[in-house]
Amino acid sequence: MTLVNALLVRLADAVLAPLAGLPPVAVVAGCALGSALAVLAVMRFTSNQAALAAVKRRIHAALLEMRLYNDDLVALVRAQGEVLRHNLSYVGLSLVPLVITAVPLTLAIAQLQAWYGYTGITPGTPVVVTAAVAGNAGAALPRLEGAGVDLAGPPRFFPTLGEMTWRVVPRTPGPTTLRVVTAGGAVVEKHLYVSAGDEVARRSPVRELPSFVGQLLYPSEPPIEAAAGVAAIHLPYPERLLPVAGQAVHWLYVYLALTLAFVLLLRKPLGVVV
Amino acid sequence: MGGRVVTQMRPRARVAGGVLLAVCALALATGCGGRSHVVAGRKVIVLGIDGFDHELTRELLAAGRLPNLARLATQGGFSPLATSTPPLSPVAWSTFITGLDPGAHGIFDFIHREPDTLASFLSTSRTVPPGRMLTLGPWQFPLSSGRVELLRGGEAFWEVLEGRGIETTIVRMPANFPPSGKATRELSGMGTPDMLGTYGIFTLFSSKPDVFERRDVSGGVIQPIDVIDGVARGKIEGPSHPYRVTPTPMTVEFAAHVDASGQAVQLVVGDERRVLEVGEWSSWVPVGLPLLPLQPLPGEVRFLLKSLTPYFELYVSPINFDPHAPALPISTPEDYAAELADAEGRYYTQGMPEDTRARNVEALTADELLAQARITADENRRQFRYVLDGFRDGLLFYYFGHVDQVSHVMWRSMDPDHPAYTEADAQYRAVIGDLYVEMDAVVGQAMAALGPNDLLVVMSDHGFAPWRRAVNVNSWLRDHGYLAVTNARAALEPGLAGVDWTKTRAYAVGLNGVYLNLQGREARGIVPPADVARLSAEIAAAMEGTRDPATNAPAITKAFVTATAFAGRAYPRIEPDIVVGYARGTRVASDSALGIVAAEVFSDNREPWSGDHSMDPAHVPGVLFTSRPLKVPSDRLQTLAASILAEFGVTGFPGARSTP
Repeated sequence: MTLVNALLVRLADAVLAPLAGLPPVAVVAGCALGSALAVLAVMRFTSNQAALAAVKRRIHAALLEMRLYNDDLVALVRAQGEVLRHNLSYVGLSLVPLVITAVPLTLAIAQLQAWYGYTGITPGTPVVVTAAVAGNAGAALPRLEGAGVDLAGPPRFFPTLGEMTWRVVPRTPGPTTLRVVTAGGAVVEKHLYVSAGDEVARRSPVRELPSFVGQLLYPSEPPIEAAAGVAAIHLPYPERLLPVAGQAVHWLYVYLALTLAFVLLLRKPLGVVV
Repeated sequence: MGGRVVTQMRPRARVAGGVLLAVCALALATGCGGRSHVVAGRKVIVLGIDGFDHELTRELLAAGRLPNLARLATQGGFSPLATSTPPLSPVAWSTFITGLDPGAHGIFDFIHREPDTLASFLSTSRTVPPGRMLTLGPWQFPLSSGRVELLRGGEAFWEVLEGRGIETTIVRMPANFPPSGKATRELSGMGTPDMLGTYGIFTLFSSKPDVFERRDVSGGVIQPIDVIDGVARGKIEGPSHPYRVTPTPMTVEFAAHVDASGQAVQLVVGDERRVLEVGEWSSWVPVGLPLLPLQPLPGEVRFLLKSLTPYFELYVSPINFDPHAPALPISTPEDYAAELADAEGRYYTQGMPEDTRARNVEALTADELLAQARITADENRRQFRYVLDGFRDGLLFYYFGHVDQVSHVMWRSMDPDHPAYTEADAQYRAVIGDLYVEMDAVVGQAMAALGPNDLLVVMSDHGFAPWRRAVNVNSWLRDHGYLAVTNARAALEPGLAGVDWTKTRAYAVGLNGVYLNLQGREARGIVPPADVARLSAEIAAAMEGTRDPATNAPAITKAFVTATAFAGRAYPRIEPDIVVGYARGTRVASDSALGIVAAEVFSDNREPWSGDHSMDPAHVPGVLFTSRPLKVPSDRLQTLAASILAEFGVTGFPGARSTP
C-alpha cells in the first residue's frame, strides 16, 4: 500500500500541481468529468449491456403496469414485486463494474481530499500539534523541532490520552517539516504546509502507524515506523469549503454530484446503458 | 458528588428552553422571497454603539483620543441624543426603530410581568408552543407548529425603505428577534436568546462549589465536578427535550484531561478537541444536543479554564445557536447567519454575549470578563469589516454592544467615590476609555467607505452614570403605606412573596416600573380604575421628594406617570403606571427589581455592576455624530429614524410627528 500511495501521490501531484492556480471548483468539475467518463467506460466494457437494457425495460414495464392498473390491488402488488425483482437483477448486473470503479475512485478521492479538502495554516497563527505517544512515555517525553516555526509555550503531556501537544507558530509560508524527536533519539517527521493565503496545495492532517484504513485515508505521507515510539502526529488544518451558488460546500459533494450528472448526461451520446 | 448546587432561574429556563425547542423542532422555513431594489444612489451607514456616553465622549474628544469622531464632529456635528423613558436598551432601541414611545411599541423593560401571576417573561420576544401534542407513554409529539414572535409593535424604519425598493442591511439590531424579515439582510441582536431561551445562562464546573452556596447565581449554574485519575468529566445541560413528557434536559458530555504538569487540560467534546492553558478561552466548540438519534440540535460554546489548583474551575458559556444551522431564525435570509460565519468564523449569536452576570457573582474575574469582551469585540469588528466591504447602496445599520456591557461592570474603576471602590480597581481605570478609542477606529473604517453623497451616523441609545446607591422601591412603597407585608421574612424572597395583596396599592418589578394593584388587571387588584390617575400622581409626587438619608441629595429626580408621559397607550396590561427616574448615581436595588421587599430602602451598591443608565433619562443622554448636517435635524432618539429616512426623501415616519 505504501508503494501504491507513493506512486499515486506522484501521479496526482503531476496532474494537480499545474492546476493549483485554477479555481478549485473548476478542477473538481474537471475531475468529475474524467471520473464520469471512466465510470461509463467500465460500464461499457465490463457489464452485460444487453441484459442491463432488458432489465431496465422490464422495470419500466412494471412501473407502467402500476400506473395503468392502479385500481386493481392484485395487479398493483404483482407489479411492485416485479419492480423489486428486476431492481435486484439490475444491482446484480451492475455489481462487477461497481466494484471495478470503486477502487480507483476511492484512491482518486483520497488524493483529491489531500489537495482540496483542507485550507491553510497561516504564518503567525498558533496551531496545536498533537502526537500520540506509543506506550507510556513516562518522564522521557519527545520534543518537537521544525524549521520556520516557533514554539509558543511549553509542551503538554496528557497521560490519560497518551498525547503530547505543542503550540506551533509558523513564521513563513511554504512547506516545512516538523520533527518529533523521542527520548531514544528516534525522529518522526511530519509535513506541514504553511499558506500565505488560501492557496491549493497538498496537505495531510495525519501521519500514523501502518494500517490499511489509515493509508487509504491519508496517503500523502508514508506510515510511521512502529518502533519509533510515536503512534500518530495530527495537524489541525481547517476544512476547505468551495463556493457554489452562494453556498459553501465540501468539495466531495460537488464532485459526486457532478460525476453523477456527467454520467447521466453522457450515457446516451456514448451509447452506454447505465 | 451530588447534583447541582444552586440555581434560581434554572427550572423556568429549562422549561422555556424546551418550549423554544418544541417550536424550533417544527418551525417552518420562512424563506426570503426575491425582492427587487432600486438604486438609492447613496450609502447611509448608521453605527449604533450601545451605552456610548456623551460626557465621557466629550472628555475623550477634548483629550484628543478620538480623532475620527472629532473629524465627524467638525464635518457634520456632535450633540447629545435624548434617550427614551426609561433609558433601557430594549426600550431605547425600540423607540429608535419605530419612532414611537414605549406606550405605542410596547417594550417597557428587559422583562415584563404577567399581571395575573406576576410571572416574568422576556419583553421583546415570545415562543408560542405547538397547540396540540400527541402523547405516547413518556414521549410527546407536536401535531401543530409552534412559532417565535417579536413583541415589538410599530413599523421598523427599514420597512419603509424596503417598501420603496431601497436595500437595507440591519446587523445585530437590538429588540429585533426573531428578525423582522423585512430587511434585505438582517442578523438579530440584543434579545436573541441562548438555547435555553434566556438572555444567557452560564455553567461553572467547580471542584469547590460551596464557594458559591451563599451567592445569588441567577444567570448561571454551579455544577460540582471532580478530577478523578487525571480526568474531569461533566455534562453541560441544555434545554428540556421537546419530545419528552417529563422535563428532561438534553446534555452534552465533555472530558477535561489534565496534563502531567497540572497547567493545562485537553477538552474532548464529541469529536472536538481543545488544549487550554489556565486562564485561556477556547475557540468555539460546536456541540450537538441529542434531539433525535441522527439529528442532533446544533449549538456552540466557549470554555474558559479558570484554574486547576487548588481546585478545578471550568466556565462554559451559555449554549449559543450554531450560526451555520441555527435552530431558530436569527437572520434574513435564513442563510445570512451562515454566510457571516463562513466569511469571518463562528460568533456569538446570543444577543448580550458579555457575561456580566457571571462577573457580578464573581464566577468571572474582571480580567476574564475583559478577555471575553475582547473576543466579542473582535468577532464584531471582523464581521463589520465584511459587511462594510459588501455594502454598495442603501442603508446599513451595524450595532456594537460590548461598550455598554463592559461599562456596567467596570465603571467603578473610574469612580473613586464609589462605595465599593478599592485600590485594585485603579488598574482598570483606562479600560472603558480604551474601548471608546477602539470604536473610534471602527468609525474611521466607516468614514473611509463614504462617497461624496453618503452619510455616516454614529449614535448611541443612552449614556452612562455611576451607580453608587441603591433604592429598594418596594421597601419605599411599604414605608409610604402603598405596599403591605404579611410576612417580613417571606418578603425577602423574590416574586413579592410576602406581600399582603388585600392592602397593597402599588408594587415594583423590573428596573424602573411601578405598577398599581389595579382591579381587573392584577389578580388581586384593589385599586379601582377611577383612582388610577389620582393615585399615580400622588405616588409620583411623593417619589420626587425622596432624598437619600446618607447624602441628603434627591434620590429620584423624576417620576413619570405613563398615562400622561406616553402618547401611545396600546399595551395597558403590561405598561407600568409609573416610570421612576432615579438621580444620577442612584438606581433601583437589584433585589427590588426581582420583587423583594428589603428591610432598608437605601443601601450602598457593592456589586461589580457599578455603572448604569436606568435613571432619569435627562442624566444619561446618548451621542449623535453625523458626517454632514442632517437634512432634518434630530436631537432625540425617537426622531432620529425619521431624520435618517428624510435622507432618502421619505417623510411622515412616526418620530417626525412626536412631541418632545
